[in-house]
Amino acid sequence: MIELKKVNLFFNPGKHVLKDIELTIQAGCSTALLGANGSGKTSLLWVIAGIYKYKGEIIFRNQGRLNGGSKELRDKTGVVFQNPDEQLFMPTVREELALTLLQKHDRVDEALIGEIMERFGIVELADRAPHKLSEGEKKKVALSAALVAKPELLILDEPTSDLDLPGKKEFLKLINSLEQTRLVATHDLEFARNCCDRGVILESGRVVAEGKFEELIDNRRLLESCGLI
Amino acid sequence: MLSSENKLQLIVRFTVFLILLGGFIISPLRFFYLPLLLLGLALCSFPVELKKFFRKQLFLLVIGFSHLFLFGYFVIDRVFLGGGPIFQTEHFIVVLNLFYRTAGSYLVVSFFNSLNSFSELLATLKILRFPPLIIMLFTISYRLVHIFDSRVRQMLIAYRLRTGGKQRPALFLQMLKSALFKSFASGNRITGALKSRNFHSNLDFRKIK
Repeated sequence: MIELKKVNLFFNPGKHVLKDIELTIQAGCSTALLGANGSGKTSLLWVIAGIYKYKGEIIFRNQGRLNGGSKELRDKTGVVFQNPDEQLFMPTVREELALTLLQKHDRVDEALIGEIMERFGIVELADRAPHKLSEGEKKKVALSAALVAKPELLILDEPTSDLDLPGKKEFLKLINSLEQTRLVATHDLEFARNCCDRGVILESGRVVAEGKFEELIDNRRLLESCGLI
Repeated sequence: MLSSENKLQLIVRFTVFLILLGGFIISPLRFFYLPLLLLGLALCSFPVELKKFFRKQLFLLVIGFSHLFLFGYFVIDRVFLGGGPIFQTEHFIVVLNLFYRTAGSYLVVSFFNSLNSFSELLATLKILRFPPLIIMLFTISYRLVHIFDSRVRQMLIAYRLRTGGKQRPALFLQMLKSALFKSFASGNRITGALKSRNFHSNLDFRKIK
């Protein structure tokens, strides 16, 4: 279980981006993070991923508070960014996976890389340049690169952007086959309905609703007021 | 994993690249033909698709010919004015020198590029035990240049569509400004992506075989 207690994020003294975020992410669950553009979804993801320094508390499995922007926080999370081109930059797919291991564990485990590539069906892409792959393949590589270090929490930022329908279906299947706890920021309610058990709605940097996903999206008035439909 | 034969091949290619590059950079202009001869020899000895290679370098010929007007000045200066006030011979030599060395270096880099992938270049640097920082800088710069390049290409297409092929300098400048801002935002997200994976400057890239 991951708990966020009174998490605040300031970009500069005048810009309060996340306001007193209180959130519990159930272990093994998939949670959708919903909200209109500019509601703070990506900022919240970046806080949890250990990229931004926050004020407040983030606690992983009752292990105590983790500092914002700390290695401990980054070791526990894996992130798949909206645009894989900005995430993948090694010359080959295999090296991309190796880089994650080198960065997180300071050593490269070839057997583990092979295992992950096989699991995600990217063995034949191993020696290809990530930026020359199709969008669907890039997403799979980005997901593999995030998972190779075995994070406790997988964070996905707009995972279906730039994917066509078959690509979405394939990606959905992969996401649903994972055992990791997942936090998915998306505008795609259909995708979220198929892969998330719980949902959180953000508006202007605040959590305005949290609960079972089906219950949240049945509340049309709430969705309309938050600019989601 | 690279076999020792492959490693040797990479080292030979890299050594030839350095010799050719050095030739174009430091050889005196009066021996200009020597690096060109060496490059020709290298092009014949290594598996390079010559037709494709030369087609890509055609623009160098255009730039080279555009320098011919300088030669006109040179003749006027020397023949008619006896080294007079219109044009200084030294200027002509400087321009020629710069063009020759830049074009030569470009040809050598293109030659190396057509022989090796970027991944092989990195492998060579690792075999030759270059410092990890240099390898890391190469890797990051390569991706950043690619991202900037694809962004500019997209914006150029949009610019052409919006202007209908006409030149609109103000809009073009605006587009360049916007490309820089977008690249800055993109750079920010790349830094975030690197940070989320615990990126640090002391990372030993040589451990990735």
